[in-house]
Amino acid sequence: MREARKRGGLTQQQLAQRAGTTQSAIARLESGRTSPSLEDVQRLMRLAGFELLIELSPLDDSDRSQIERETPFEVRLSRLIASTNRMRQLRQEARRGA
Amino acid sequence: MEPEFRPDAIVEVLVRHGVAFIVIGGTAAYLYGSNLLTEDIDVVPQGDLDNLAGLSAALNELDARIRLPGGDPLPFGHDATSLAGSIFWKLTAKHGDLDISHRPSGTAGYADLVREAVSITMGGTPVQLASLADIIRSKEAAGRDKDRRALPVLRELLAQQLRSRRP
Repeated sequence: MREARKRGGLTQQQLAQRAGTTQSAIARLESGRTSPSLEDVQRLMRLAGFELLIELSPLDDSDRSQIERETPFEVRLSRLIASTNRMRQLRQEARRGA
Repeated sequence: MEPEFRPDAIVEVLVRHGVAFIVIGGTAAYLYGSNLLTEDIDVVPQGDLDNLAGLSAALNELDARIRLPGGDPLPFGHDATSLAGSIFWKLTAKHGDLDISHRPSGTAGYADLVREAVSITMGGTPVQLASLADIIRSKEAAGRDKDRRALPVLRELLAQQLRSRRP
């Protein structure tokens, strides 16, 4: 919903006015603090100028399995630095060996 | 020889020069939990000339040069005005590659991103990280293969974030 509103160039206040609700209600929906019905989402997206399309696709659990939950940012940063630099070393070794 | 990639050292120099900026792109995505490695850090500076003067001083300290694919980097002369004059710079610097963008795809730039940015530390340096939703928005708009590859994991991470916020 937030994506549709922003792409439509609307503030939360402007979308709220179109929908006949309050800015804080839109903020709660966008932050996930309340769970709107599918009909409400479709209506708000239309008010922002978009149509919600839903498609079926085969289940791919790999996306979920790749996610590590609640790893601190500093730990992720250390891992990025180590992994990127190790990858570069390996790439340079491969170039030398080629 | 490529410099060691140290995004924490790059942001430390930017912060020490008083630069207001948001980290976005692959580094930010990795910090949120994406598993796709990246070799540069993307920053979105606040666009006023005082801030860009600080950015210019930081880029001098970082010995930033213009990055060319497959070629030697070019010398990069800059000041606040010239930094304001182009919306995108691809640079290589003392601690790794650095991309500077005033308006990443799908966003309106610093003022747009700072509203939802998250305060974190990188190597002890306080920085503002673009929100996961804004990173997704930008990658969707950019639409390059590497952006599309990153999206499923980022969307799943965002869904987890939203689920965990619900009462």
